[in-house]
Formats: sequence, structure tokens, C-alpha cells
Amino acid sequence: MTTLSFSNYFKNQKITLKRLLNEPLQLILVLSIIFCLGLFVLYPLYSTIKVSLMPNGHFDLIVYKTILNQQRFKIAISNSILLGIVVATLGTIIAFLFAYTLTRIQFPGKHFFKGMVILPIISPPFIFALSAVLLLGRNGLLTQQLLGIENFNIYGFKGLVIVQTLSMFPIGFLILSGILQAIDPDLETCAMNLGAKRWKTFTTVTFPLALPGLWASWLLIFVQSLTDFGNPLILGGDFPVLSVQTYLEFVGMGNLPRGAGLAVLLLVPTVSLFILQRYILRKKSFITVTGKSTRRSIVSVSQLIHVLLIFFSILISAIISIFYISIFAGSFIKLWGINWTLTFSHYIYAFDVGLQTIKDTVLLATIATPITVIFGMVIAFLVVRKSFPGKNLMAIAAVLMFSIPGTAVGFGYMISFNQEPLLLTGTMYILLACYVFRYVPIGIESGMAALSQVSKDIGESSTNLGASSAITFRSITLPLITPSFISAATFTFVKCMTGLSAVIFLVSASWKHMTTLILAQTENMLLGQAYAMSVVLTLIILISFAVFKNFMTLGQTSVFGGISHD
Amino acid sequence: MRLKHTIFFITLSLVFLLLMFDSVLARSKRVTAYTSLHEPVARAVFNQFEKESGLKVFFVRLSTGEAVSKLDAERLNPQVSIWFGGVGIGHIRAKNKGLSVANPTTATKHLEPKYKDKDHHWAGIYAAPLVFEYNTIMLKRYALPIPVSWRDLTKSEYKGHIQMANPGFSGTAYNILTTIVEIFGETSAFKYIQALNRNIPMYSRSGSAPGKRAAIGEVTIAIGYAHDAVKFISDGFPLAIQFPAEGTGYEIAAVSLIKNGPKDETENAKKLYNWAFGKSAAKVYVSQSFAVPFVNVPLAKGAIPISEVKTVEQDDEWAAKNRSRLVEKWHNVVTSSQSE
Amino acid sequence: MIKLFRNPSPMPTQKSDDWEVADLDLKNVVKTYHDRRGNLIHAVNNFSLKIGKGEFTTLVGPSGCGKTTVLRVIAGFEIPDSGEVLMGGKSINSIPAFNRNMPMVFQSYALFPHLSIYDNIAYGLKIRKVPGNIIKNDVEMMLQLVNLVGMENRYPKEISGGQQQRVALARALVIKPKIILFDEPLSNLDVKLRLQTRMEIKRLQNLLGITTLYVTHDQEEALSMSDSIVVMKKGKIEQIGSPETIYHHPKSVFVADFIGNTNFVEGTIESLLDNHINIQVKDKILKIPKQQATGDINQGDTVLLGIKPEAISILKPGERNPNNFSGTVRHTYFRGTITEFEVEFNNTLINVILPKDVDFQQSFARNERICLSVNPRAINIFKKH
Repeated sequence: MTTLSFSNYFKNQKITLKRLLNEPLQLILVLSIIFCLGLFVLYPLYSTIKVSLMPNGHFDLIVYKTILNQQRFKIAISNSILLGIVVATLGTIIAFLFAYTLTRIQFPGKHFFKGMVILPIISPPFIFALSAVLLLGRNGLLTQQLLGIENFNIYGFKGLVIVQTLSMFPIGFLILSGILQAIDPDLETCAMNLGAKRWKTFTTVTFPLALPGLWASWLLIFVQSLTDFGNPLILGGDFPVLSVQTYLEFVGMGNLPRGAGLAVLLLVPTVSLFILQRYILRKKSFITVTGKSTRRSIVSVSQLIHVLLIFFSILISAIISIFYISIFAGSFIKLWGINWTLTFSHYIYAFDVGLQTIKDTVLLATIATPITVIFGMVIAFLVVRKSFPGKNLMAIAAVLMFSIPGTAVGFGYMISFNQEPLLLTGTMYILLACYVFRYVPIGIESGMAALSQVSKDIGESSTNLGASSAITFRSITLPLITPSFISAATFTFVKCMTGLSAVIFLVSASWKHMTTLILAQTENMLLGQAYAMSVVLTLIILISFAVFKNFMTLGQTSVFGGISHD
Repeated sequence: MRLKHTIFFITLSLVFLLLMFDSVLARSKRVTAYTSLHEPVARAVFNQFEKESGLKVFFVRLSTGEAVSKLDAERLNPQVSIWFGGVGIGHIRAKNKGLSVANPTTATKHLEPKYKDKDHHWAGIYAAPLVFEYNTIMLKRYALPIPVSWRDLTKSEYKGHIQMANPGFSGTAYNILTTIVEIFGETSAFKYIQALNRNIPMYSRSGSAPGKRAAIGEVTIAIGYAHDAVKFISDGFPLAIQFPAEGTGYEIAAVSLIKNGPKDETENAKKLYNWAFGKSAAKVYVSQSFAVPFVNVPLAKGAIPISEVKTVEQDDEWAAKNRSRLVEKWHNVVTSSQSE
Repeated sequence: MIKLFRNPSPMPTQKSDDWEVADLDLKNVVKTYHDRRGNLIHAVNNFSLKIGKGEFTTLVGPSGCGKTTVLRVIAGFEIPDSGEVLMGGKSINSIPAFNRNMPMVFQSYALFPHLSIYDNIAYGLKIRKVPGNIIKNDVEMMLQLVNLVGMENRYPKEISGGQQQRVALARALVIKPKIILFDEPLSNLDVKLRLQTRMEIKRLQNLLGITTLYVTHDQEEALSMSDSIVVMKKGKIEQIGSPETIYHHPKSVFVADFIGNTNFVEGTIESLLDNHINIQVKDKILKIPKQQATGDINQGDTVLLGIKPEAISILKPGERNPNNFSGTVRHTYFRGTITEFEVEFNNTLINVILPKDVDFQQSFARNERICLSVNPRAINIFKKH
């Protein structure tokens, strides 16, 4: 090498080194994320499994033997599966009909119907169980007061099927309406041009194309039903299910190993279905999203079926609204079924006993939300845009939590963080950690969406127009990721406000949660108070929607806040 | 536009800071408590204490069984300094598990020895016998006779009409279970439970819920503590009580101080503990829960002192020690007969 | 068609005085990276290039030849492993991308979706803290320049692809760049818009005289717009020259193949004479001027003859030409002003393009045998390796 190229070489090395100075930062970031995921995702899982396998400090299958031999656990397992299958099937059918009606038939008031379906997704998970007592209980408005049915037993299988189907079919609806919208109506038209009758078109084209979506919907509802905690706790009656048994085993019996064993049993199907969905069903999707065809196919069903479908949708929406209205009404009525005088006393009581709880709940959700979303977005950024060893493991660990039932998460956290040096039980940190790591997949999802918004080109074009990375971040990246951030934050906030199954293991006298308070009040037959608290919770969520919306516009108007000319 | 956003932002931050301050900082003049009293009763009791002491009570309502499990789970980092109310058997279990701490005090001097722990770990605030509570209207509607004995409850005509809580969660229900064992002897007791189970459609988590359900007619007959029923009757619900002919069990609602509770609260918790056995607390128990306290205060109308009730020979120490075994057995009997 | 001057009032006829352009000099730039299997790839290999002030230089080559990497090294998005980038004689290696004043126009337009057209164009000025009234003036001027007056309040989603690319152009020009970079800016446009926008870019470049580096894989774009063309292959320069040179005198089969749809026919050097070379192709001898040969050629060598489609004509009945050969018509594509034929000769298909001749009816049946003549001065001789 000549002297010149030597000096050039060193000069370039120096520049590369300068840029490389960023790399240790990235390394530290990656390492700390992996550490956190290991500690708050894998370690609780490991502890749960360990406790169940080593109940007395050494390896012993006694826990599983007991669970699989004792009648009451066997019943709980088969009940859970039976309930899951029935609810998933019913829910998917309703979801499909609803989605089909809303995507394929034109009729007024569609937005209203969509809103009605979204409502169960954003409200506390057991709200239907609460109103089911009002409507279908012994003093129920429908059963006793209107229909005069005596001794109708809402507690048990029947009641659970009703409330779970109503509260869970919306998830299926979201999946299926997305898929039905993505099916090119031209395909249906084409099938008809080829001579297929309407019904034939439906069975040979529409239905097979929607099949992967139906599967996904079925599995998702099945898992939801399996992991549901609030509804069976309120309406379970003599119908024990796995998720409640896990809690009962801990709270009632103080039997940690057996609780752990039940949590593991709950975890096995959900995690395997998660893997199944992620790696098998995804490949089988036939849907080609063209994105161009906005025309709606209005040809595939006959007029009569149209009318029936619309009627069906109205019926379902009406049922949902009745459930919500009854909660609202119940919160103002002295004693449902006995004393119908209007009263504010439930609200006065709710604020007297529950004010601290409301504050705690809102505070924790408010702190957890930005952390969760930012953490998720950082992971998404690292996984999508960077390469480092252990990347796939990180991605899997980060989304794994979504497939773990809340009961197992809460249980795992409780037994993992109750001694030095990880003494977190009873503090706000255990609740925060639970929120952050349980809902970080939402942040990751939104991070992915945001990254697709902010293409490399856009960042670079800002750079070579003269913007430093700080300015680019402030004026381009930030406003562009704001919508994904806000929608993820909204969703996370709602989840933090309404989650019950994990939180019930982690709340303490110092840090309480509204859902557990509502549940306790329901248990103690303080129904009016529970309804009032539920209304307050729903209102907080609706207010938060408005606040987040305001944040959205805030993000947009301040684009040039930093570099504007005055 | 800009101004509007600034105002919005500042308001939001202020609200948030206020929340923070309230939840995190204002924690010196306070007592954190688990309580197994009814939530409305607890609210009244603690409001009265707050008024008198100037301290603030933060409480969570848990059933007796839940409270013990929770305290056990938090053993290394207790979150509360006092457990207020709840069936005495639970307090004995807490003592046996090393969860409570001895607190010798003159405040419990007036109590009979059987109503307090000899090592000063817990002491009773009131006693309450178990009774059958039935909804008079419902009983008439279904043309059912009044059940007068434990035996009666297993009659097939009561199928679907009886309710009690789950002894796993509820101290009340465990009290029922041990009473049955004490009356019938363990072997016959579980045969009895199997028969009783056929008439019970569901077991609640909370011990007081069945009584309330009976009051509003959600169920016809409940097994629970007398004072709860008396309160409902005085509130005008169509409820009546019946003491079982074979005799009945009773609870000693008790209070314990928690070992290694939050440090800055220890003195405050002791204040609450001592106050719990005094007259002004007793007045609240009387007015709110119609209980019969161990202090001499005017009783609520219809309240029944434990001395006037035919009670069984009750060994709470034995009941506390055998809880896991009995509850486990109960679970097995109840669930396996459900599958028939 | 776009009206070039919709509103002819205050049009800049040339760039203002404070607008300085610069020349660019790349010296021995090397950029390597590792592919997925860990192999070392030389994206740019010892690349040197000088671009004069105000010159329009185009990098062409097949995908993966390193042309975009060169562009990104110049823009400052990539750090070269070795070598230097000089602007106006000074090394800019250590100047970060945002300080280089070298805007790039992207294939994806890369408009800021959350900003209006006006704000998109004003972006660079706002960053430079230019006073508001000047921003307004400059942006309006730019809007006129790219024919987007009236669109300023719209958002990128609401305008067509061609309009978006003109916004991107305006956004780059408004900051009075020393050099402007284009990365396949027209690839996402349909044919008609591509032609219009190409004209637009060239018109503005002519008008403003900015040093321009343009990357494309489209030979037509390269030929029609550039002052000079750089043909790249595997990270190296294959040939630099004016469009005419590149077109008429390609240095290699690669260049000839890449530019101008050249037909290749195999032949043998029959003899080398003073002024021309006799080459045997099948049973014919073609006489080709000696300057058409590239490299060192000896008698008996097998060579490839690069023949541009338009160098071939169809022999009319009675016409004579020594350089003729016959073939079979396989396909005819009528294209209005020209007609394209695929003629099979010596087992290869040869493209022939004929201008519309009003006097002569050019229609042949499929599989008809015809006689073709070729202009020997339009044949390039390459040694076959």
C-alpha cells in the first residue's frame, strides 16, 4: 500500500469507528431487553413449571397424578374444553354471519352495528356476566319479570355459554370481516359468471376462502373461553373450570404446587394453539389482499337471506345493547327485582369505598401504557431493522406472553417475585411489570405498523434535505408513528384497565384494581355497587378514548413545533 | 390551537401528579388492612375510626380463606399491618402459620378466655351463631316447609333451593363444615354433605352472599350467620331465621396484627387493634351488622346473644389444624357427586 | 400533456446568484458488505469518477451492479471502506449526510405523508431556518416550476404518482442544492408519465444547470437525458462516455448488450486489411471498417458482431448490397412510426427496426424468407472470450 492509501485507510477507519460508537449502545439495549424478557416472561413460566414438578423440592409427578386422577380436576378440565368448543363454535358462527352481513350487504346504520360489536372488546371482560344476573337471574328482568320463568338457573354451563359467546364473538368478527373484505368480490362474480348458483358460489368460493379466518376465529375464541376468568367466577355455579380452579387452589387451599400444575395445564393448550396459529395456519392462508377492489359484491345471497341476515344482526346488536343498558340502569336502581326506586347511593358508595381503587387503577394504567408501547416499539424496531444473535428468540419471547393465560401469568408472577432479591409482591412494580410484559405484544404490533409507515427512504430524504437525526425524529418519525403509538396506547390502556385474571393474584391493600373490586362486590351481592363501579370503569375508558384522540391531534399539529419560523 | 393543547396538556399533567401524590406520597398517617367484614360494614367501622383517630384506613375486603392465603403469599413482604374481622378459625390458622404477631393489650381484658388467643395473637370482637335463613315469600311460593334441623336440609324437596359458600374461600362455610363434622362425626358428616350437596346448586365465594341472595329471593334458603339475617329482616326483607335443632356452630369474628407489616404503620395498626374492642367500635358493629359484641352496648332489635343459642362443642384449634384435609375432602365429595 | 408553462409570469430563467453548484470527484471508492451466507461482496470496487459542474451524469447497469451504492456513498448514507468523495475539491467523507446539501429524489418519492405539498416543499427551508416570507416566495416559485400551482394544500396521497415525483423534485431543488441525486426516480410511473417526467427533469436541469447524478437501469432514460453515461458492472465502471459514444462505440459486449438492444452474430476474422476487416459470417464475408473493432483482434479469431436493430434494412426487390443475408420472418410488431421484426438467422432471432416508409409496403407473412442488408459502419466487433 502506498502512504496515501494508508492514511486514507486510517481516516476511513476513524469514521467507521465514530459510527460504530452507536453500536455498544445498541448492544446494551439488546442485552437489557433480553434480560428483562428472561426475567419477566421466561422466569415466571419456569417457576410455575418448577413448582408443579418439584412440589417438595425434588422431582415428583404427584401434582399431575392428583390432578389427573381426582374427579373434581377431571371435571374442571373436561368442562373447560366443552365450554371452549361450544363457545368457539357458536361465537364463530355468529361472527361469520355478522361479518358477512356487514361486508356483503348494503343497509343503513352499519356504523352503529360495528360499534355495538366493538363495545364488548373495550369493556371489562365480565360485564356480560354481571348483566346476565340482572336479566336472566332468578329476579331477572327477562326471565322472571317479563317471561315469568321460575327458578331459571343462569349459574352454570348455560349462562357461561351465553355470556362468553356474546363477549367473545367480536374477536372472531374482527378477523372474519377483515378476511371477507379482502376476498376480491370479482372472484365471487367470476364464479357466478362461470355458472355457479348463489349458494354454490358461497359454498365453493366464499366459504373456502374464508376458511382460514374461520379457523383463526375459532381458535382465538376457544383460547379466550379457556382462559376466561371473570365470567366463570361470577356465573360458574356448579360448573368448575380450569382457570377458576387454579385461583381457587391458591386462594382457597393455599396449595401452590397444585395451582401451578393447573396453570401449566391451562398453558399447554393455549401455547400450542398459539404456535399452531402462528406457524401452520399462516401458511395456509389463500387470501390475496389486492387492496384495490373496494367494490362490494352484493350478489352472493338471495333477497330473503339478506333480510334474515340483517334481522339477525339487529337482534345480536339489540341483545348486546340490552346487556349494557341493564348495567347502566342497574347502577341507579336500589335493589333490582325488589325495590325499583332510583338512587345515586351506589355511586356515592362506589366513590367512598372505591376512590382509592379508581385512582390506583388509573395511575397504574397511565404509567404502564407509555412504557409498554415504547418498549414494544423498540423491540419491533430492533427485530425488523437490526440484526443480532438471538433476535428470533427475542421476538418469540416478547409475543409469547399474549398466549399465556392471565391466570398463569398472575400465578407465575406471584410465586416468582415474592422473595429477595426479587421482592415485588404487594408493590406497584409487580402490577406494572405484569402490564408491561403482558401487553408488550400490542406495542410490538404497533411498532411493526409504524415502521411500515416510516420507510427508510422517508427518513433519508429528510436527512439529505438537511435534517439531523434529531430533527428528523421530531419532525418526520414522531408524527408518522404517532397514530400507531396512540392506537396501541389506547388498546394497552383499555387492557390495563379491564384485565382481571392476572391482576387478581397481584393486587394488594396498597395497590388495588377496579375489576377485582367489582368482582368482590359481585361476590358479596353488592350488585348495585358493582354496576356503579362498572359504569365508572366504562366511563373512564371512554374518556381515555377522547384523551388519546386529543393526543393524536397534538402529535399532528406540533410537527413543526421545534423548527417553525415565528 | 396551540393554547388549547397547552391547557389540555397542563391539566392532564396536574391530574396525573395529583394522582401520584395521593397514591404514593400520602402514606404516613395510614393503616393498611385486610378485612373480612362486609364491605359496607367495614366502610362504616373504618370511617368511625378515621373520625376518631385522624388516621386513614386503606382496606381490601377478602373472605377469611382468601385473607389467610394472601397473607401467606405475602409472608416475606407483608402489605398490610392488620387483619380485621373474619372467622376466628382463620385467625388461628394465621397464628399457626406465623403470620400474625402477639399484641398483649389491656383492651381485650374484658373478653372471656375462649374469645381470645392465650398468646395474644388475636382476639374476638363479636360472636355470631350459624342459622338457616329462608325467604318467606319464596318458601310459600314453592310450598316448602321450614327446615328446622340440619337433617331437614338434605330432604329432596329442597333440591335447588339451598345455598352456602365454598369452605375453600369462606370462613363461614368452613365453620358450617366443621359444625357438621362436630354434630355427625367425620364419617357420617361427609355422607351428610354428599346428600346436602344434591340440594345446593352453587357455592359462592363469600360467606355472606347466600344470606343476601336469600333476602332478595335469588335463593330460598341460605346457611349463614345470624346477625346478617337479622339486619336484612330489620331492613324489611322477607327473611326469617331458624336455629337448627341439633345445635349450631358460631364464629368469633377476630382481629390480628400482621407480623412484619409496613413499618411506619405499626403504631397506627395497634391503635386500630385496641380500638376494635372498645365501645365505639362495638356500636358500629351493632348498628351496621346487627352483631352482638363482647362489650356491653345496647343491642340492635332482634339481635341474638350467643349465650341464648344452643351451640355445639366447638374446637376452633382442631378446626384450624385440620382445615386442608377437611376442605380437600369436601371438594372431592362435592365434585364427584356432581358428576353423577 | 403537461403544459410546460401554465403560468408564465415570474419564472426563473436561470438559477439565482447565491446558488452555487459543485463538481464531484470520487477516488478509488470501495464499499463491501457481507451477504446472508457471510460472503464478502464488493458492492463498489475501486470506483473513480469525476463529474463536472452542471453536468448531468447517469449511472446505468443491471440491478446489483452497485450504482445505488455509489449514490448512497455520495449522499453520505454509506461510509466507503476506503477511497474518498470530494466535492468542490474538498473531501466530504466525514461530513454527515444532513450537512452535504445533496438532496436525493427517490424511486418511492419518499414524500412526508403527514405534510401538505406546500410543507413538503418547504421542509428543507424550514430546517435551514429561512425566514417565512422567503420560504413562501421560494415554495411558490417551485410550485410554478413543477406545474403544481393550486395543489399546495393537498396531501401526497391525494395526488398522482407523476405529481408526487414533481413534488419530490421541487422539494430537492428549493434548497438550492450543490448537487442533486436521483435514484431511479421514474421506475414507479407508467410509460406516458415516465416520458413526461423525464422531459420535465431534463428541462429543469437544463434551466438551472445543477450538477446531477442520476441512477437508472433504463437505457433510454440514460441516453436521452445525460451529458455522460457511466455503465457499471459488478461494482466497477465498464465504460464512461457521452450517450453517442456509449451507443455507437460500446467497449464491450456487456455495454453493447445493455444499451440499444444490440443483436449479436458470431463470425470469424477472415482477414485484416488496412482500412477494414473481412469477417466471415456463415457463408458471407462482411467488410467492416477497422475502427469498429474493439481490442486486439487477429486473423482466425472468433468474434461477436454487435448489430443495432436500426442498422439493418430490408433489401427491396432489385436493390443490391454486398453485406446482405437472408432470414425468415418469425414475428412482426407494428408500432406506428416503426415496425419491429424478429428475423431468424443462423438459429438466432435478430431484431430489426424499420422506420415507416410511406413508399414501401412493409408487410411480410410469417415464415416468409426475406433478404436483409446491414450497414457495416454500424457493426461493432468484439472478441469472443
